Amino acid sequence: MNSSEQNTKDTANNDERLKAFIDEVSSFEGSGLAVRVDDVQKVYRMGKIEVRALDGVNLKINRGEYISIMGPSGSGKSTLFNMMGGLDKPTSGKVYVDDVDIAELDPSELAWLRCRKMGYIFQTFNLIGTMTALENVMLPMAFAGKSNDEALDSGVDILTRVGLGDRCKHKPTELSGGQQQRVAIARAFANDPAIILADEPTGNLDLKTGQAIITLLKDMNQERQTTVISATHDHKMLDVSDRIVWVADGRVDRIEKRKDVEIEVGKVVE
Amino acid sequence: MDKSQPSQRSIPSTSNTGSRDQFGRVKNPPMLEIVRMAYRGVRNRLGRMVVTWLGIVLGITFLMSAMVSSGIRLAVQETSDRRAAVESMYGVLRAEVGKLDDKKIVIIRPDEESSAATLEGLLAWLKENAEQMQIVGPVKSSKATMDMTLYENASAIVAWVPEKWSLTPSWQDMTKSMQQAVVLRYTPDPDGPFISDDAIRSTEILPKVTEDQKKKAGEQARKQKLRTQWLIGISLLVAAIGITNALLMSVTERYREISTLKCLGALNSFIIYLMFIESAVLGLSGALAGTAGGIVFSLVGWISSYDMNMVIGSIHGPELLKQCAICSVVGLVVSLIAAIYPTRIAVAMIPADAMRTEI
Repeated sequence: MNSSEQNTKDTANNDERLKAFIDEVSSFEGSGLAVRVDDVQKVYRMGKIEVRALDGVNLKINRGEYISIMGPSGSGKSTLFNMMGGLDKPTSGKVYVDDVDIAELDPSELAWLRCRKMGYIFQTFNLIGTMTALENVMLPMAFAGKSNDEALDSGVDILTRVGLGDRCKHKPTELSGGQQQRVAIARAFANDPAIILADEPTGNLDLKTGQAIITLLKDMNQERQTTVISATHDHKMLDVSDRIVWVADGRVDRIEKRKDVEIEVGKVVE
Repeated sequence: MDKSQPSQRSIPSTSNTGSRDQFGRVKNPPMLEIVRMAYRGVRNRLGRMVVTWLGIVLGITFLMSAMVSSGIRLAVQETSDRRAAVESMYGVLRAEVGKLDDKKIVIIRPDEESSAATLEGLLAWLKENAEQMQIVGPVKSSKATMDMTLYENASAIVAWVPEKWSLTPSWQDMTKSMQQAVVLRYTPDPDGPFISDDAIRSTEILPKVTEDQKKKAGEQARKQKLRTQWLIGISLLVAAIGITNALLMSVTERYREISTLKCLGALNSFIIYLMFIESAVLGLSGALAGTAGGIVFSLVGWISSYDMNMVIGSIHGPELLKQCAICSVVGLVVSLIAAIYPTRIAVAMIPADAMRTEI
């Protein structure tokens, strides 16, 4: 087979694969798990030294759950989070998002997944500085192929839902930290994803604002039944979580249900 | 909403932000978003990019001014030569014929238009000097011997002799009826046919520069051109390196932004288009500024030592436009090539690496 025939065959194969993937994702009954982590290991090589960031992690997360992953710095919490969010690939083991093995995806499939099925919220907000709040929220919709009018309406709706209806045209530099995080939340929910991944969402916020953000996240989780996975230090998050995963030394230390945990968090006296 | 079913997200049926293939995914990235981001990105970083931008401007200024200058040089040289020829012709005419008042001069020109400019120059000169002479012609050389009455009472014949004048006029016949038998032949060929009749006072007016000299000058010009091309090439290379450097810095600055875009579902092609468009904006705007600068630069140089009207007159509209187009394209291409390496870096970024934020 000469090279052009081979190329056509490859393209046909890729198209077949992608079609199969999208069919599978759209219609498969599945196990009901939002995310499944199967004996995942992540090893970093630094010269001659091997660093085991994750050392055999097993985890099952149900749809609609609100999960907090907690642990000290260097425990592997962020690494686990990155694995689940498709931001990084494990050295061994498998991660299934909605029953799809994300390590097997090629770049365009991964992009599709990130666009439609996942929403990300970061500690540093990560809004595009040159775009207004509304444009930031409309961006993932543009990637998903929504028409400009639809995206505009949806964008305004969701910004209003997070409490920023009057600040649509403001740039990130004109918004406070809490407001920026709200925009980030609106952006994450823009394409109505199945899973929200929040990496230290309250890390850069003060107590009161942080609490407001957590409340907002919980409300949206309950309204839309979206799975929320958050990696955090913040103990205020404990109160709203369905389950809490404690991570230490690259392993899951214990998993607690909210109702089994006694929490008392200091409140700001007004 | 019941979520025990696997997530069934409806794919919107229409989209004007990208064309869709049969799988319902957006095949091409949303160009409007890209252009908007690119434009705003460049505008934002304009201050820091000025030095890089100036690099391209300088390179293109150099290129453009070299091109315009060589065009002007050619035209100025021609005008200079022409003027010298006309002056010498007039001088000889005056010397042979004496005062030109009330004298009749017959002018013969070759059939092809080859020396039209010099001829026009001579006619203009003669008219300017306001001497009351009667000018007959220019008569085409093929018709010169047809009507001998042309030459009655004429004082001189000024004939443009092409390199190979196959028609040998009978100078005796022509000068028979003339008051003064003066023949001036302007010929580029010093070894051409001479008039051997002693009764006719004939003078050859040769171009000031011989063929040999022209060849030597051509050689020198070619060497100079090569040198200039080398210089231009190197200055453009430096500009390209500057652009690559600036883009690499901007990619490093925007690590977070690029990774965030990938998290939102941007395909690699989005990043590639974004970077190339930003680079193209830089390159094209620099090229346009450089083109304008080049024209000004070379004009200033020439006008300081030559007559302004002559210099400006020697600029040919369509030619200039073509040179502008070439320079713009060169600037654009240089900036696009310079963007290749930084783009590869941007595309290869793993989001996790870029956004690691451990407290």
